[in-house]
Amino acid sequence: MADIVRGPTRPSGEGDGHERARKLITGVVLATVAAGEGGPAAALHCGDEPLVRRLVAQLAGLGLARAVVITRPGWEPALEGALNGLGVEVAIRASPGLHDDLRTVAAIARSGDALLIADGEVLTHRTALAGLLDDPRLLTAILERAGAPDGMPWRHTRSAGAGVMSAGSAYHSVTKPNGAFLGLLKVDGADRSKLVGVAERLAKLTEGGLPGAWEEELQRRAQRCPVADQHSDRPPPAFEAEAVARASAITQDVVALLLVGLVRVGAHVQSSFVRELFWARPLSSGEAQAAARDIATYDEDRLALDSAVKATDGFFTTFFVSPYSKYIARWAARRGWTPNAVTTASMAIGIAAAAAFATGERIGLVAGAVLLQAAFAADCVDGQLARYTRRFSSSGAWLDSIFDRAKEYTVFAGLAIGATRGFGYDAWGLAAAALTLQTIRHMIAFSLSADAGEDRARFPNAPLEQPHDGAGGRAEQAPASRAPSARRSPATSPLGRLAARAARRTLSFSRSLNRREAALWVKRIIVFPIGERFAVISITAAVATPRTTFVVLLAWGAVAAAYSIAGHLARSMLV
Amino acid sequence: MTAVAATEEPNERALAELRAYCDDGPLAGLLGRLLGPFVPVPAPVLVIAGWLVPAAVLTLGGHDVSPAALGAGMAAVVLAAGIAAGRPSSRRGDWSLPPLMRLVEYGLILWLCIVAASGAVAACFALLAALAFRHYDTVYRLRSQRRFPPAWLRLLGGGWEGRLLFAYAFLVAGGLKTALFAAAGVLGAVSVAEAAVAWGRWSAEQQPDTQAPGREDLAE
Repeated sequence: MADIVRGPTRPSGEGDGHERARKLITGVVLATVAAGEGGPAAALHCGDEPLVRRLVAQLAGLGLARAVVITRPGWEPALEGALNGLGVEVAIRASPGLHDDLRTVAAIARSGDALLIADGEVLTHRTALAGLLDDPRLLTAILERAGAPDGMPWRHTRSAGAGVMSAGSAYHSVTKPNGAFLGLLKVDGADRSKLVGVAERLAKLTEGGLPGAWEEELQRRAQRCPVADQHSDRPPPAFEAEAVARASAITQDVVALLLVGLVRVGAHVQSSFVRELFWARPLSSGEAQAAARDIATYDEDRLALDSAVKATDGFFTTFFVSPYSKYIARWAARRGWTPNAVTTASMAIGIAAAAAFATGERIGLVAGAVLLQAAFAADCVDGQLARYTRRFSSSGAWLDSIFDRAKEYTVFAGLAIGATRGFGYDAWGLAAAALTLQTIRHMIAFSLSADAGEDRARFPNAPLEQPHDGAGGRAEQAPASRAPSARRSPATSPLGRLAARAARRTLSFSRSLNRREAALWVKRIIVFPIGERFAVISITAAVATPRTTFVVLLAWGAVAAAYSIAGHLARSMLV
Repeated sequence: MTAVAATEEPNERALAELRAYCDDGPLAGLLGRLLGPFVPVPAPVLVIAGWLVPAAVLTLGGHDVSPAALGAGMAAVVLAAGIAAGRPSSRRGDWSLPPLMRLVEYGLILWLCIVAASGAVAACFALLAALAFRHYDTVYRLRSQRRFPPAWLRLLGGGWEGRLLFAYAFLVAGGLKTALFAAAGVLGAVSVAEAAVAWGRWSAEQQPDTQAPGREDLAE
């Protein structure tokens, strides 16, 4: 194996403007795919620099301490030229094929801390890479695109809230894919031993080339591809081409294979989504030039700001707060404010709101309503500021969540004091009931998401030799040889059948709601998220009395709790 | 880094998190270990059945509820939900236990105060707010640090069953309002202080290794 170590070791993080604590990451960049014109695709020029140079430079700015580039024998000079003088330590290793690629990855993973494994041809924005690398909440994670996978053959993913449940390669298929893997896999230090195991297992499987069973499966898969429907008699050359393409793709698909392995041994793999940002993996000079033209048309700052707005916020937040709060976030970013400072300011404004409510005077209630909305806007700004400036911190996430609850319950206390002082009745019972209901509602959500992790564990961990992901009996993946009983029948007793029927109705109601955009918002409003709760508190407190506020909170909260419990029961009975 | 999760199966991890959310005290743990294996009833069913007893007593008794009847109700819910703590995972019902335990704990303490000691409701709010901090902190800390709060904090809190019996004892003996305020003050202060110390320690441990890796481990 040829080894070229070059470049001085220099602490990374330049071009970032401010200092921050980052873990050092070792990069493993795969430059093993041939360009259409020959030579490594990673060395194709995108604008005035090679793809791999741009990628490694972007990663170096995000804390990559050193990079090991794996390439094919004979391609080292091209990559050496492409990576010369980058300011990070770069080692180029020539490896004759898939088996040695995997051995190399296993060897690198044995030492060091976190790893980033990347396709060397990926062209995307720094913001997209930062989303994966700079977010300490993401431990082992991938860059992913949500939605129906198109133009990304074979690298499908299925992700849920709990993480990636299934991943695909040219050989491994995904049941009901809902996303695509974009060629960057970050492996946390704690998962490194799993990665070593997976890489060695795969290396062993591919020791003498692809296993025979894999070749057969690839042939079979090629014949099932849509081209096959048009010619039913005998396999036309297209099948052969497809099979060859898949077989060759798999020998270049180290990153996807490692992801499949990690997911199948039960590693917790999270997702970082590119959302509206540009992403491409050009494999010919024509594609590279087109991609270079396309990426130049993207306004990265605007997209970064838009991406800073959470995609899953509630109705009130999305339409009444985020449209302007993102500009406050940008303003705060330019002033150098930290998210934690904004979080703390939001808490202080929330306490001021509670104090205004506690006066029990009309003017105090109106002032409290306005202050509470200001506190909520600041609360949206802190998260957007964190995402926009990539200043994520675990303690910030904790502080934000704790202060959200503290604000809400302090305001309850303020309203209860105001009720005694200004309206002459005791509202502490209502306040405590509202607190109890809200805490129970949160606990339902927390427990369901902790349980979703358990669901992921129950997702059968299919062995790597098996092409399908083992999402048992679920339609299209099951080969004909499998027993028909693979489909689970959860309801055998009459009561069970009734319950299942009710569950189906509830679910079909809920799914029919999902069909339209407006209906999606209705669903998000029903569950009474924080924006809606704070809006209800402000409006009712400003125009009515604390008792009204608590009664509305309790009534809407009870409906929301019933809705989420019914929805969960319906789903769990059918899955 | 000493992430607790590193070596555990996700399944066990999820169950351990759900158990931590429940916040069982030593008495519930004891009841669960001793009696859990002999009561073949799913845990959520046990908790709901137990909760119905004091709920019925409070509904029927109203403001004249007798301490003995209430005591029997409290004993029933502690016994039933305590046994539930020792029942094995019921898979699909596991998620319901933490919210049910909050319904049992917060709901009954509040109900007790409203029905039998209306002067203590504001103190009850204070205690529930302090408990809510602890219960949210457990969840958020597991999410952001992947660490469980220390066992001594759980013991100090006495668990949901300890707090239910504490409230009942002071209801009977008198001085419930003072006792609830005092408990809220102590639990709130200790929980917040412990959370702050834990964050300080955690942040210090997360400082990245500033030593750049040498090139020798690349050269072979």
